[in-house]
Amino acid sequence: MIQRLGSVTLTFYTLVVLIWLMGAGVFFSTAHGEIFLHMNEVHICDWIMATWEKAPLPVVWFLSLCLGAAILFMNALCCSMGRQWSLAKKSGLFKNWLFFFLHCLFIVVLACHGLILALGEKQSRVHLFPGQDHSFGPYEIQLTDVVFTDDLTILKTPKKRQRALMTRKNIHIHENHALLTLVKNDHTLARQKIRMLSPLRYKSVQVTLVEFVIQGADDRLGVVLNLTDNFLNRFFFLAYAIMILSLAVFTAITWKRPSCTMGKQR
Amino acid sequence: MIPDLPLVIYWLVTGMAVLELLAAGAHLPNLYGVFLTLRICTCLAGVVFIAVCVGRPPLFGPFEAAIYIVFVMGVLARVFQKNWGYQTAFVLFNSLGVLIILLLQQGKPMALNEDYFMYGNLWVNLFFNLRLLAAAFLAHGASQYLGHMVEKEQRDLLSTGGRNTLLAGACVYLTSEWAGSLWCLNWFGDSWQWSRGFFKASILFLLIMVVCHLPSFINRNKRIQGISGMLPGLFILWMIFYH
Repeated sequence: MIQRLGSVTLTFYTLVVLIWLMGAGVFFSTAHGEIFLHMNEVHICDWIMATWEKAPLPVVWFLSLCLGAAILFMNALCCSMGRQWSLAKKSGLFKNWLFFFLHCLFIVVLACHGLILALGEKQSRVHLFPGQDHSFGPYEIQLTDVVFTDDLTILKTPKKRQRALMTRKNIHIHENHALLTLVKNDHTLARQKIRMLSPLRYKSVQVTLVEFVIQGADDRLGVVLNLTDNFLNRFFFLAYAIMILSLAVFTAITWKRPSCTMGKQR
Repeated sequence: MIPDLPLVIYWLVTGMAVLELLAAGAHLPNLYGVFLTLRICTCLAGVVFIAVCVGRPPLFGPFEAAIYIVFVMGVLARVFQKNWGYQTAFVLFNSLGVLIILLLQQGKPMALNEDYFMYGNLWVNLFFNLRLLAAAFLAHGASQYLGHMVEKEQRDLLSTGGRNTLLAGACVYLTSEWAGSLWCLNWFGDSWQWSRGFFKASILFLLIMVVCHLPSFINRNKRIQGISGMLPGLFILWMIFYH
């Protein structure tokens, strides 16, 4: 049974099905743009509940994708623990151990992809202005100050035209910032200036500055924040990096030279 | 003057690629080598032009992507030939591939991309630039697999070369995706997001995995092996130029 579950034939067919499902995803994300946008903004369980009634097809597609990924996960697990483990143990060769290790890391990365989706907390596009605060689980985020040193008319420009104006010359990413305080039970955990592409991180909590906004007749300057709490992120990036490194080492040590191939041909 | 320079570079590189293909078709290895070197030098001038004008490496767009991919493909072809000798089928398909890449860009705006404030970020640069580098590796591998399908004498040699290039391309591609994930995390707070770009990027990774996991009953068929080996290269080129 384990041998069948870990067979290369099953890997091949699962990969082919996943390719078709991903291709269907390209189609669905074009046809149901709003639904997919919403998918990134809320927890996946909430998305399933909200979408099932109005558009069941994307939900069926999503569940099929999860099933395909689960089969691939099981297949990789059975193959690694069955065939590759015994091959590495029997031969004792470094390249076989590395091959086994590489597959284990793939399993970890695949699992992290799924778990990041299902675990943790998220609040998207939270609008905050100086002096305001916002609750996020047991935490409270207080916005003290917002500094935008560049031309404010860029922020008033419609989105489609805004991109052309947002050059490195016009937007000084290191100077524009928001001063935030992360509080838990009246105790200050972190106080930091956050910039675009430079979020506040405290343990598993991340406060990300998505964009600057202006509102009202008095041009009140504020920020749009994404709030996430996911303990797996750091582990995911570490496992992913080690997997790439292992693949690079495996490629280098199994790099076939012309002399070997020519020898085989003779 | 400067807005026309990309167009001049593009046509010079295309001209070299035509001459290179003619030399390869006429079985003139020395002449082919000369045109290949000239093409690499012209592309290098293009890459330096991009870096000097906009203060960053090539990232995307018809001009930047085509010149950079063709440059790296030229370097890879030169290295492959030096180590593995002159492979007629590979040389022909590689030159033809380069010419097709360039001609498909004909008529598109040959200019540097508009600037964006995020182009100063390391992860953004790594994500886009390494994706182009991976495309060059996978396209180079595609010509090796294509050569492997039609060549009879050097079949195993080209298949081995294709396997090496595919794995190296996978490493570069995954590094690009890793940098892209970090960019996404810093921009949106998520390591990845549901989008068309994500699905296409996943399809490419799955295609690479398919080539590495062909069951023995399929792997015995050299034609299917060759076609599957070509798919990642073709798909990434489509992804870059028609995304």
